[in-house]
Amino acid sequence: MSNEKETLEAPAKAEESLLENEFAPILDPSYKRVSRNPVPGKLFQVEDEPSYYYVVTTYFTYLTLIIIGHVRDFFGKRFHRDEYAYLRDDDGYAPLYDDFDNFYIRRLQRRINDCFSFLIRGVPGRTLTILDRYSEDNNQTFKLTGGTTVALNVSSYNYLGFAQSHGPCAAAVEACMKDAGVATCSTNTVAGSFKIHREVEELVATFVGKPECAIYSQGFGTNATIFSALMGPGSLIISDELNHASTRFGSRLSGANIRVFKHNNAKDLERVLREAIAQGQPRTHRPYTKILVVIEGLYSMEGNFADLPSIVALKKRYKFYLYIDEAHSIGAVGPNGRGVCDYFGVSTNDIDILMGTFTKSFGAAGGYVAASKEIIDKLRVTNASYVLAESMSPAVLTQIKTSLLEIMDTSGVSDGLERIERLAFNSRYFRLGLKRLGFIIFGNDDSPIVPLLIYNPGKINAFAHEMQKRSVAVVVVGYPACPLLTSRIRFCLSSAHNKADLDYMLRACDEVGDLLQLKFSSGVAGEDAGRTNIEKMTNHHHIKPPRWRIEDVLKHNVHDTLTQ
Amino acid sequence: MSNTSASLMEDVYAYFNQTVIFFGNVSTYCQSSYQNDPIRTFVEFLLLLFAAYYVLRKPRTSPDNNYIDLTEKEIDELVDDWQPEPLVSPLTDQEQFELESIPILDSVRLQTKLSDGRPVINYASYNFLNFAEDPAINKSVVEALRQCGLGACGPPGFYGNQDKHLKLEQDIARFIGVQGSIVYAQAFQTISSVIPAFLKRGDLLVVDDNANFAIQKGVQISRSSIRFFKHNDMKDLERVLNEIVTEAAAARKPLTRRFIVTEGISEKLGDMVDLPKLIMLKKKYKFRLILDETWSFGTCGRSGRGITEHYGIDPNEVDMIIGSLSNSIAAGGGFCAGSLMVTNHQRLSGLAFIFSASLPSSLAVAGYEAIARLEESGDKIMNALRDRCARFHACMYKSKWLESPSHIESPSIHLRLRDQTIPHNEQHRILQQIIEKCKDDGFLLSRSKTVEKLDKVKLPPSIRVCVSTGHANESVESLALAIKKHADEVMSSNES
Repeated sequence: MSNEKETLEAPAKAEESLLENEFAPILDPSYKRVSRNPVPGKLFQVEDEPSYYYVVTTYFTYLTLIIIGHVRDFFGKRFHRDEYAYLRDDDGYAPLYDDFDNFYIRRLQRRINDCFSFLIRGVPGRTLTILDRYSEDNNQTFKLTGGTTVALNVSSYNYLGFAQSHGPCAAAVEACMKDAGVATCSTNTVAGSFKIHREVEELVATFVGKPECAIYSQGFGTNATIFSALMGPGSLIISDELNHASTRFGSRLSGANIRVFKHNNAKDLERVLREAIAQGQPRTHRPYTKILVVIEGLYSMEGNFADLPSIVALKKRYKFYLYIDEAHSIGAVGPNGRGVCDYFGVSTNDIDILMGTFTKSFGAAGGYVAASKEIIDKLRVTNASYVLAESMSPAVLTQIKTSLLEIMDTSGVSDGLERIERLAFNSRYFRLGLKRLGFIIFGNDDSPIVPLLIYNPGKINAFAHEMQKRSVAVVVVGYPACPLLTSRIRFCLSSAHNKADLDYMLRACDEVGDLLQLKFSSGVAGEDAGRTNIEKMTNHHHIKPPRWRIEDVLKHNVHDTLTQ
Repeated sequence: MSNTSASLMEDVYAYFNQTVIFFGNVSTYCQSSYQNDPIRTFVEFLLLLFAAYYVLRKPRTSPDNNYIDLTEKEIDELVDDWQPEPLVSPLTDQEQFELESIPILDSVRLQTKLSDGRPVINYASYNFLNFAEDPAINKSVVEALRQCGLGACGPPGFYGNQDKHLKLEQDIARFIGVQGSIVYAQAFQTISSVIPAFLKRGDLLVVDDNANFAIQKGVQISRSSIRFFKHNDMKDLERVLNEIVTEAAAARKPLTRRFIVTEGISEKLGDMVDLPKLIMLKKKYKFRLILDETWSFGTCGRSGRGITEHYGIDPNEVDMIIGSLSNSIAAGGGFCAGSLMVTNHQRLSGLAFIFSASLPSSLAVAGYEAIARLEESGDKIMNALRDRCARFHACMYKSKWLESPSHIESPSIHLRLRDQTIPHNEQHRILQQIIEKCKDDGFLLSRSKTVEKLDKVKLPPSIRVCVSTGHANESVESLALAIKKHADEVMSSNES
């Protein structure tokens, strides 16, 4: 183990300046790409599957974990009654949570608890300073040791690298804070709308390409309340099955009927639409008053883009309204960073509501909704988050304003556009490398979210720990955030990384992949960007799965990333 | 090697033999039964057919019995004919009025300007302790910015929380006097998320019937059974609790989780709950208590610790205390404080906690700095605040047209018309006229807002005056007199 470690050069050396820890300098000015759909109307997204061996062993692992869990429960509840007291009625009070619901948390999740909820100190930029911790009770609680570890950050949603403590954004924010603090102490409709709110709302509307925009202080809150304002009994929300929890929360509150279609599957959406329009409302068969299709621009656990061209085509025929949650895609994709519409070259007039957040690409917080004037006016008086929740902090608005102006700058004074193009390069480069090494990678070639599939739940902590040893902080995702079978590692790339960081991570993944037997792609995704082997596969051609050596990958990667 | 393959062959041979014997037996059985009992064979044959039909039949396309089979052509026609309503209906008069009455200000400062340049003193925002302008707090906020940047760039589970968030959570818990607390990124979403984290279908909620909008939404999404009690009426609460306990005893069902949800100081009225009685009832009937202190945390109690301190009650008697960091504390976000069991559970099941980005670290710093101020000199600050409230009420005393349902120590003071025969729409306009006239005098006020369409609680409209320690005593008094005067003017011009 120690030998391997020596072959890797740590990217974050102590002598490196603070600023480079937040944002890496570009190594070669040519390492940039334009983020645009290469073949209009086509989507290069394949979901590869491993051989049955991995599927069967995964199920077997869960079965074993469940059995062991029950055995432990059986003996634990008899011999350690005190430790399980919280699951029993106590003095006329029912237990605070169900034994059954708690089983997963108690017996499965606790085993991987040491991979989540780390505390950090400082900027979540190119690197993270993680507070070291240890657990004395099998991951139930953690104690801080007082030490810290610096690791390469491929976890934060810092797509454009605007999480910085210095630079134009921080300077502007500081001036704002000195002048008027961070709070508004009020809601948008009472006394919490300042001039800067309207100013940034106009700026965001221009940026995303809609006439008006409303800004909210929390992205989750935006989705959680907007559907109640727009929809109601008698209307229908058709939602992608993998939509974010906030969307599900919000649509449940709205009182509208809810139908779900298969993830990103336009055909299934059409089936649901036809059935909904033909059958009408349940029982009464009255036609629905309106239908809202809710999708995400970039799915945060899958790394794929919405099949926007097909869905917009359906919209013309079926007259539904379209709501896109661009939480992850705004700023991060498209030639000008203006989200999936920009990426696919779809007109924003075809989308009724564009929602997004500022947490990710802009290094800020909060959410926005952009739409026509009528819709925004209505939301300003009927959306609970606008009327009753605290309004956005002026300091955060300043961060949004400055970073947006950087991105929108055409004079070349700022590096906003360069950030977008660096991210596009980084995404392709890293994805291409992993694919060629033999990993199963979900999602689009241009997506900065890179899920690496690991299947067996036992490998979740193993992967996280091995990467930690190599000073890389990763996010691991297991059930229930993703389907039971497809546990994964999620890399979030950033413009703050440079090619050296990516090479370092590819090497680390190569080693860990060999160690944990994770190179099991079938070859259906191909070994080049923008090309898949689906046709060959359906014609029963034999495909040789890609298993490149790391040296070969690194040798060809720059050239192929720039040309493919 | 040869040995094993030989034994394997033997096994296969034996298996083959057995199969032959079995099928031989079956055919013998069929033959004999056909000869002995043809009807039985027939019935068995039918059974077999039915089983085959059952397994192979086409599954129903929809579980809905109401499903109508239509041809593709018919569906196409229906699709062509279907015309949806517009996504939003045009603004109603009331909505238009609400939209136009939103003021645009310069900044959070109490002495600020309207968009048309008129200087005003802000009596509308919830900046009760004027921490928003505190230069020392703002200095540490800037330090935090230069240390950690602004955004958290991720949820708490994925490296979003910093040591600053941990300090904020610990400070809140220590300040209130409970084991732990958990910080959400928005105050409004906090209680809507806390309630469904603990209550599921089949559980029982007893809710104040004038509860604020956030509570209503949390209650709605939890899908528990809900019973209401009359606002702050402890007798009615006892009646409801008694009913529930009696019913449950009669039904002999397993014990379910039971919670009382109410507010410390009511958002819609500004009055205060009778906490000692409430705690007594909660204990007597074995309910848990979720107390929304959004309007009482940092505004009441000897040193701003909230309603529990006001009544001198141990905060551990309340199971969950929900508070806001965006009102008095002048930061952002909300929190839930309670035992570690309560807060840790929310880290895994509080939706707005797990699925939302963490609070920006600068706001967390603003939060704990403000709490440090309260710990240091909370009693002084609270005395000043209570003094201003008292002055306001004293000057409003015997107003001919307006009355206040609010508690004398609450700095959010609701004023509503005494004459409740006037329709609500009209009341809104009258109050707004008073507000406009006060603006001319240099006072910014606001009506208390809600989403009329969605709010289940329909109360008479009111002006919510927010008194702050940053206001001069004279200013508070002249505001009260101005309101009284303008109410007179507006009402008498309306009558004539």
